[in-house]
Amino acid sequence: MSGIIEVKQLTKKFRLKKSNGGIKSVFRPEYKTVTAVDRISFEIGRGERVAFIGPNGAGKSTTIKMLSSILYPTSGTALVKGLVPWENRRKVARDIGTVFGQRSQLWYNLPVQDSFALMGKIYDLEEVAFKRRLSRLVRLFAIRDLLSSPTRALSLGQRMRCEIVASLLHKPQILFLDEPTIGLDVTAKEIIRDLVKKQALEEETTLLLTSHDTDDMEKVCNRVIVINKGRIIFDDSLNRLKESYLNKKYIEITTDSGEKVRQVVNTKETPVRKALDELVKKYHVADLTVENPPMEEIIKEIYGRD
Amino acid sequence: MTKSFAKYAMLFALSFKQAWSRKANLSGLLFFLFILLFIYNRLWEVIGLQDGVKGLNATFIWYLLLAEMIILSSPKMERVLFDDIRSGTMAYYVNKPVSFFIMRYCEGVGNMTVSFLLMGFFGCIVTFALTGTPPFAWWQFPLIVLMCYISSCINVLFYTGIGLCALWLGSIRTLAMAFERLAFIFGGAIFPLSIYPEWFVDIAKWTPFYAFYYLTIKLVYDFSWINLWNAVLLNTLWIAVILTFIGWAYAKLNKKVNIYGG
Repeated sequence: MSGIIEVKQLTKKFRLKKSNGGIKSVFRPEYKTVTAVDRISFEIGRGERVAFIGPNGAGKSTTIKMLSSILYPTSGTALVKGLVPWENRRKVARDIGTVFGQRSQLWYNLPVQDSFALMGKIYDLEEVAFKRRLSRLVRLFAIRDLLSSPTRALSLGQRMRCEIVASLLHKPQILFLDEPTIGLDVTAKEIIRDLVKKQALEEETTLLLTSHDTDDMEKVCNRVIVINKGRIIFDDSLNRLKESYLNKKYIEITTDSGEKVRQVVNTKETPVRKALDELVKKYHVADLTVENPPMEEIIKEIYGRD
Repeated sequence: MTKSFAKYAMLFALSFKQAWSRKANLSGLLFFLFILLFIYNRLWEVIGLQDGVKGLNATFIWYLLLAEMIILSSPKMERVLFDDIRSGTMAYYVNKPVSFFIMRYCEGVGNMTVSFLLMGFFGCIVTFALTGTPPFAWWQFPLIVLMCYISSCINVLFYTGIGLCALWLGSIRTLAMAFERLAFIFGGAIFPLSIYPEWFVDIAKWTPFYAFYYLTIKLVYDFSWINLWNAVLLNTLWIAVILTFIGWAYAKLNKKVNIYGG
């Protein structure tokens, strides 16, 4: 194996207490074992942008937690830049950045620049190098106007941009993004996707992005790993996934009279633009959305073909 | 070493700044302190008049001020730790080159320092206005304040340690409340232990609160080098006990995080 991330037969099982609400369970608890990640193996090369997708509870976050040294696996092994992450936390920490969509590393009441300065200190960055790096990221992520604002005053999209900058300050070679667009509106999602991709391309950062929004992988990544019930069920290029499973678009229009019309378009047979033209001719369109099929449907289809 | 110190010093500084920005919170704290000092001053004035003892209120109100500076300045670190552990936030710090526990402790001390300084400044003015000359010599004042600050730091450490009990307990509130009440009683936070029966003081001596609070605050009306030395020695002993517990609990916690994550 020679990738920047190498995973072999990685397994994580959790032991959960079963509770039936009775007194007996307090004194003699029963346990059940849940397998969150089940013997997965893959390899990621330097500069690859990999989407790690699957429905809720598929094992995405557990895998990211093991690779980012938070969790010990039950069995199997993984190497991040040649080191076992959970045994070399401090060393691995300097090569990885983590962004968790539902957690914040910024100080709530303080200006964002203070949190950045703290990150610089935590990663032992030299003053000059830190300033140069910050200045570059501020330009790239267009956050100059946000630097003096307290985190509490930022919108979710602005906050996420700052979270990503905070994770990139020590110039990690690998960036783990766990649901970075969760809760964002369409425009903010687009901005985040564009910026993450631009940064990864410019600095050849390896990305591992988890999401259950298929648009995230389409816009940012060049490789897709689909995980379901702890097992990898698809690992190939984005193009291959698109050709095979992402060839449907869901168009939903709302007419002037408030009526909702939903149409599924097979993009192999009909281009989206053509389908839209036909719908616009047929109805008085007040609003329209075009969406990829939901994750569950893609997974069902992958299983169906297998 | 220098770099490690720099990151924790910055955590302290940011926490100080964040606490300083909560003006309404601090104003409420000072208002409460004023009411407390005012009411207890009246109480001790009346008791002093009845017993024919002059300056009784000065002794007890300076005593009360320093006790409150230690107790009220402490942020609710047990709740912060409890939330970190229960919500899984802690897991997100273990992959950074920083110690989670020391990080939270420095934040707690930064937060406490703002309240401690403000209460000290404001409280001294109010107490001086209410009671006049303090019961200690002016040269003893910096030593007493320094000992109070050390006690406050230990207090923060103590409550941060209680937060680690979230590992075993479903709720930390009852435990923290019990410790607070015990601190008030055995630490002599409202009334000096010298007014309690001897058997009660003998029990109190075996609790950490006797060292954290009483031995330190007692310096207000009974300053001597021996008492100061006793306070330093016993506080150091309790720091060792608390750190032993924290080390043991933190190792267990780390193991749990390794297994269960967030």
